[in-house]
Amino acid sequence: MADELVVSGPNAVSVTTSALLEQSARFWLLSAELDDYRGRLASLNRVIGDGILGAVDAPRSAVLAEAAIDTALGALLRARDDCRRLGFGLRNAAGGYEFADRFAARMGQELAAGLGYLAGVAVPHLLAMAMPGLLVMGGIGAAVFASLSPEGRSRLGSTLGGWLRNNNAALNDPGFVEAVRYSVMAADDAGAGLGRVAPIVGRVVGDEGLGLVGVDTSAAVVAGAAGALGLARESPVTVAPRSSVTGVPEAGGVRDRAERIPDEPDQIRIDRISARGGPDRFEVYIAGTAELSVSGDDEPWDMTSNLVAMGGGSAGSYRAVEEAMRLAGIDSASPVTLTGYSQGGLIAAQLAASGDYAVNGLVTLGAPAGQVAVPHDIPYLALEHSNDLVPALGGTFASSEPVVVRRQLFDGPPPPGDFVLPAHRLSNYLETATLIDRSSDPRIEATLRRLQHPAHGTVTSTVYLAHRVTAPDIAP
Amino acid sequence: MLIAEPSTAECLRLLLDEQAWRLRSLAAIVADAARHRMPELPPADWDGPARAAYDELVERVRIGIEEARSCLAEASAHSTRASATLESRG
Repeated sequence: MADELVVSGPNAVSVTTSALLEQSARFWLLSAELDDYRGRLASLNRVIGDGILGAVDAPRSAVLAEAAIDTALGALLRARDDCRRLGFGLRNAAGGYEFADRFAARMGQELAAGLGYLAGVAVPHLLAMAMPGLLVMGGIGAAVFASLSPEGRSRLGSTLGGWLRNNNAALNDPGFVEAVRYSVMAADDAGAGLGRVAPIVGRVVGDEGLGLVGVDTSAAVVAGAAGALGLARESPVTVAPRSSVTGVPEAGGVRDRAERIPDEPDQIRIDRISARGGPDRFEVYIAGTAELSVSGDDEPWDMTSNLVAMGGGSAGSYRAVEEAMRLAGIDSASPVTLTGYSQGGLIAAQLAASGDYAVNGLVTLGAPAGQVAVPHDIPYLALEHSNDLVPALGGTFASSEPVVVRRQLFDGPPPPGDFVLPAHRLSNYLETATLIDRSSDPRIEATLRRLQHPAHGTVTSTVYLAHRVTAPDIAP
Repeated sequence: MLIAEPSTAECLRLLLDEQAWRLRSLAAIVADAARHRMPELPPADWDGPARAAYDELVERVRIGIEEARSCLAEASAHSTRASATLESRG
């Protein structure tokens, strides 16, 4: 498992520019040290001059010592100059790679948009040709599924899950993840093709242009379609504090924050930091998706919330966090730092983008939040594993400028078969968070400095639990 | 009691002793820099002409630092020897 971090702006880079920049800084430091040694040696060399050596008929070894000092001075000078060349070269190489990768990413998105449009145009024709076969196959499949007992259907589900876990290498392949990211970004172009909108209009209003339609539009269409089928319907939510404790230490870095993301069944943790001489500060931690269904459960951290949130709607989990923040005493002027994992990261980004809160920091881990327009003045650190499918579902960071830290997992042996998406596991993001805390990359250090607060205070930590209010609850 | 001024030869001997000691400590500092300050290997997935140039320059830096350390140690030894020679001349 690689410990290398790739740090970039909104666009991904595929070489470890962070490591190159760190190397560059170390060579600059070494060149300064060699310069210092050279200065000290030059001073020493001036003490015994040719005059005194000649005056006393100095031994030959004294002259040889002077010659060796001159050679050492020359060697130190050459080594210092080479270190400077390395410092310059590495910094330029990192910048060049970033530029090339940004260019490649842009080209990839343009290409995906074009292919998406063509696919949209071609889909009706392909469907018409394949319809008879699809109907027969679909009919057989539906008949077989309908004939299964509830236990049989459950067995089929678990067999399918087991198969996915045992064959998860493709799902965790960085190339596949990148293809999904581009496909997601091209979904609006496919819609334009399907609707026979002129290509230039599709490009202008799409995410390659003005960004009026994009991943959020596609997600809203999917959510609308699911709603029409009676699925993915939003509901009211209730929130209540479950436990509270005072005197816990303040979060010190990214790892600290990631560790405070609540475990199931809790979804929200809010730390209130009371310090003398200033207003109370808050740290809000939001959990990831807990339920993979779109209907029938009282869990707001479900796929319905995912779909609705990605479509830019008012998701149950979003409203639950808003309510928990209100219960914690957070108003529009309270300084808040938000940390979220997966769906929690998406919700955190949307809260930051809402303008309803004084957000002074945002940390997301594996969040499909690429399309959320987080204001650029908020320090925003986005952690993504380059073989994690979930953040790719949010597309690229088209409307925000986070410091994106990417790390590739499982670049050696194949991923373990215990989970379908092991690269999305929070435990793996905890390891990445540790590497980030230790990193000397200037962009990471600058963002972490902005997330830290000089004034320490007493921390009161409260965990909240939210439920959907289902139809029987509402009925009189 | 009159204290005799040291002769020029005695002055040079004292200076050579001081120089030998300073050169020895500087050689130790340079050796430490070579051991601890040299950056670790760059990312394994970085290759191509830029990587080759990097490797060549890093090797030159290593050679330069090692040459400087070795010359400093040698100069220190010569200084000690010269001081001893001057002392033996009385």
